[in-house]
Amino acid sequence: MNFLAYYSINDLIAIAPQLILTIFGFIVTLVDLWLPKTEKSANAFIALMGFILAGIVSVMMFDSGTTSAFVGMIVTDNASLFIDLVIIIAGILAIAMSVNFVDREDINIGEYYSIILFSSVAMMFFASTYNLIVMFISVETLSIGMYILTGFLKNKSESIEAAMKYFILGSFASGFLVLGIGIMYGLFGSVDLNVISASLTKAAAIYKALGILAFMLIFIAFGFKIAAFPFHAWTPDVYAGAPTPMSAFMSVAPKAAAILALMRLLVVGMHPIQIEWTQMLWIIAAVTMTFGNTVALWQKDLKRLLGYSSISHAGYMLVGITAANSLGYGAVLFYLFGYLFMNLGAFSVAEFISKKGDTNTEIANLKGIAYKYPLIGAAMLIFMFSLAGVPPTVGFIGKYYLFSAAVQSHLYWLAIIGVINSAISAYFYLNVVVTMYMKGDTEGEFSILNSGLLKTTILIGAVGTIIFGIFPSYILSIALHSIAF
Amino acid sequence: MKTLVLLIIIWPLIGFLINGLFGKWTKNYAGIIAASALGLSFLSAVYPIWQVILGNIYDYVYFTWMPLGKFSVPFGLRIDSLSAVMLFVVTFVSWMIHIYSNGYMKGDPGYARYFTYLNLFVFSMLLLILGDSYLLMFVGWEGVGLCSYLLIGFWYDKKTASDAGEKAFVVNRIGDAGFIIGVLFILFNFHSVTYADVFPFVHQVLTPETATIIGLALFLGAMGKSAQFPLYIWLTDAMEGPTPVSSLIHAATMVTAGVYMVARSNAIYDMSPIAMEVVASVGAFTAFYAATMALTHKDIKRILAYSTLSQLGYMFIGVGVGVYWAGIFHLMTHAFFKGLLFLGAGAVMHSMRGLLSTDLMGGLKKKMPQTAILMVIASLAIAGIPPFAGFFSKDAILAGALEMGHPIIWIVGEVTAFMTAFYMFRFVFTVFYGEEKVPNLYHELHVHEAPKVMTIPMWVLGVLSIIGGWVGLHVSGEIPIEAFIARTAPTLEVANEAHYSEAFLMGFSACVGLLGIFTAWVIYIKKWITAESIANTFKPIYTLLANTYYVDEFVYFFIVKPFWWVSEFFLWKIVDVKIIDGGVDLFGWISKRIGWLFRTLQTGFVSHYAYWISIGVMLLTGWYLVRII
Repeated sequence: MNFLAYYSINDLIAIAPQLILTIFGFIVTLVDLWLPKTEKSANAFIALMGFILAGIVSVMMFDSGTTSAFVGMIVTDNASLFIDLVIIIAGILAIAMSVNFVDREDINIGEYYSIILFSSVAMMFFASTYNLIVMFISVETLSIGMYILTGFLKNKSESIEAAMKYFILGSFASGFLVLGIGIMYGLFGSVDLNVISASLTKAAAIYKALGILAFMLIFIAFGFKIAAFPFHAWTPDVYAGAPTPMSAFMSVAPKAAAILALMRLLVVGMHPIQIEWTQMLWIIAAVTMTFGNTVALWQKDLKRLLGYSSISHAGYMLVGITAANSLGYGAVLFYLFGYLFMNLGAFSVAEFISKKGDTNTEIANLKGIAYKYPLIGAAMLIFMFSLAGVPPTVGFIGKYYLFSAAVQSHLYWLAIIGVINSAISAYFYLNVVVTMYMKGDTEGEFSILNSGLLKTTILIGAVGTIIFGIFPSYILSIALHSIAF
Repeated sequence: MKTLVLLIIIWPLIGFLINGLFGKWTKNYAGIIAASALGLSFLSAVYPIWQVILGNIYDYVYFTWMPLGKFSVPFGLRIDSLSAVMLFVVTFVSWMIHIYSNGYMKGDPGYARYFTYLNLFVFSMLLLILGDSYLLMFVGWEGVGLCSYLLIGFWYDKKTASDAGEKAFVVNRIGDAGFIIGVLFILFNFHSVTYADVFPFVHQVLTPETATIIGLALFLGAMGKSAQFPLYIWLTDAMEGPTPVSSLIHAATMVTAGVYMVARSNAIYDMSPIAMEVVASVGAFTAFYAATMALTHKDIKRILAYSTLSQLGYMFIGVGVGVYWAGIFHLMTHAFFKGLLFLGAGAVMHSMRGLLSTDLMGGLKKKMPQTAILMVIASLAIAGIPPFAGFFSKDAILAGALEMGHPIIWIVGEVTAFMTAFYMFRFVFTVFYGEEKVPNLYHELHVHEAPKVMTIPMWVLGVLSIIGGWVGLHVSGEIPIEAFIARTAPTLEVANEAHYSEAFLMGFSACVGLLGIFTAWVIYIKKWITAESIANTFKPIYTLLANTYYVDEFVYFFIVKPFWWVSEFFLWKIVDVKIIDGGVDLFGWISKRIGWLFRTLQTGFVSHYAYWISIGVMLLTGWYLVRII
């Protein structure tokens, strides 16, 4: 069989960002062999270069039309490039957060960075396909990377435990995914969502019913990845146990990929059963938001708090998908973009106050930090306001678009539940601000991770949160324009 | 060109950011940075203004600021003849005040902070006048409100200063509420707040009734910002800020915003004779009322503050009777001479170590000859003596009022003009002429002329106070400034316009002004009649005026106190504590309980988590199966 008859150079061009990251992943692995122990930070800069290059390429590829590559298994369109960019920025910021962190924790080895690169590749593939098998493979690849990174703090038992939990539950969820894909294939003879959609439209009632059941099984794996109730349980444990830069990365990048893949599954593949999935998503969105926010009220640890908060934010994004209109889908992409800055920023502050062993991230330890480090305090204030949805931050404007999409689709109650949840969330986010500013000035020294790169990350996060909050229109118009399905 | 227009507002923003973020390091250079920012802003404005004079109009949309469904707000800047005049006044006069402040604020611990606010103030004002929609105007409107609060309360460790800042803020908020209502009405009727979508369609969309509602609501905003009766009470207390700030607030920015807004909305006001009548009447009343209060005051800054109120009243007469150009023209000349008067008062204060009472002054001319000459020039301008700037603009307003059929307003205006000339020269004569009242005071205080960095900007404004009005002279059959402003804000057309001899009106106005000066001369220089004997003869009136009609006391006892009472015993102790706090607590309690229930799911055991996934699967599929069966 002539291999080249099926593939051409254009296929490689369509996956250029993934290709670049793969190559840089290998470079890191190889260079690492020659680097002496004290020079390992060079790995970080190679990885950064890879991300930046991939970022430039994906921006250049933007708006060059939808390309279908590898006999239709990979689809590169504006939406996938948008998510690529979110993953890349998250990667850049996560690496900037990591450089001094891994030194301190004595885990500065090349694999750390190459796994970030390789799992980013898997995320990008996850976001750019309509093929269930490709989705399965990429979700597995990215998850394995995440399992390893979660357990990277080999001296910290919580880290190992979290990795183990994540692995077991992840495999469990993947089981449902394979089962669902199998049933789908059995019913309609294809793993391509476009074909499935067409078959589902004209399928007999019994096949349609079975198709819906298969869809639900597939949905479970997606729900697991984006941390929707009741598949969320791993989230707080993993976010609290994983090395902080990786918690930050995990809270944004895989989620972004999974959200877009979910939108492809729902909007394209399951278009014929839209009525069913909107009803299902309505309930899941409402419960997920409420769960995340109410449990977060009880949290004492900043990383754990952010874990629950990320559950509730998954709920907000599901509101946008439930709305099932183009404003909702665009708003979800926009929200991911904004969430990137505020959440990575908040995790950076958690890292800033951490001690060796990645501990000491209790909220109480933020007491008086705004007086000792006014800029860090101000940045954290911005992140908390944004997560709570206070103007003029990107969190406010993002939520505004999500909820107005829900209103546009006459989902008034869902929008109301969303707004009530925002009010609940204000309590625990503002509690962080109160701790920083109003619990008095501590005399003692703060044990901080004094890293210029980390401070830069915090600054970028704060600036992004404010700038895109005041001038949202540019990114929003790109996001709306990216949604072509 | 598009970039150049944007640069006009960007420069002060850059100055604000530099001094705001790096104030710790810019320290002594803060003033130079801020003044350069304004200078660049003015220079950037020159070419666009010139092009507008030649007949162009610029309206650039830079980006869509906030797409909100069907309704979106573009961020656009517009320079037409109306905003060009404002642009010139704001950038130029503010620039002068920035330079002057370099000398005045020297050595103040809050030097960088002061210039940070000052730049932000001018940025907001530029946004207000250049914005091409009511929403951008509103952003600038709130911005100047905020900055005035910050600047009036600049010396916040002084109780009176921080109180005055708060008073300004609260009173302005009352006006702002009106402005917001007006803008919302515009939004409901036109489905847009961009000028280009509103003014051309006023006749199709609005009825006289809706135009009246919008006009009055907007005017409420203007009353707050431009300090018209009864929302003027903040302006006199605003004296607590540094004097150049008063100059900025009174002359170039802030208080002129209301006049500009009414002139900008001329299409709406033209439709509503009632709203216009209200504007003109409030203006005339304020002009007269404030002038009477200025007659008796001894605090030099307060005298100037009341005169600002009075002059703003003139401007509202101008826009209220429909001769918009005259109102804006007076705004411009007033910016020159009032800016100068405040800078001069600042120079006096500066050398008198903050003393303000005219009782302590007299004969200052010998010590401060330049300031004295400049103050005489500015006073001649405000008194309306030809050929000084104020004469032309004031005359244009009063002649306009008469021609548009408002003889009573004309009479009030002329009486006020007499009082203006009188109190200004009472000020000049008692401060700069005559004898030193407290022996050796000047010697002890080392009273001296202000440094060059202060006198040069004053001289520039002095020259403009003389020649600034000459654009109001007839040139080949038309008045240049009238023709220019009327391009954007055309004079109201009335059916039976009255005609009077222009030469007669001008001569009459000039005589009224001279008579006022003569009266002051008789009383304060020649002392043929002493001020005390007049005060004694008209004791009740004098006391009433000296206490500014007891308005502050009235407001305190009949508005502030009952309001506090209601706030404390009803709003706070019942509504807030019981209903709102209780409600919030209940809501928080419920949320926490739900969280507590949910939290028990988070056991930490993998098997439990897996159960939850399984239960989720069962619920999902079960829910669906139940539905289809």
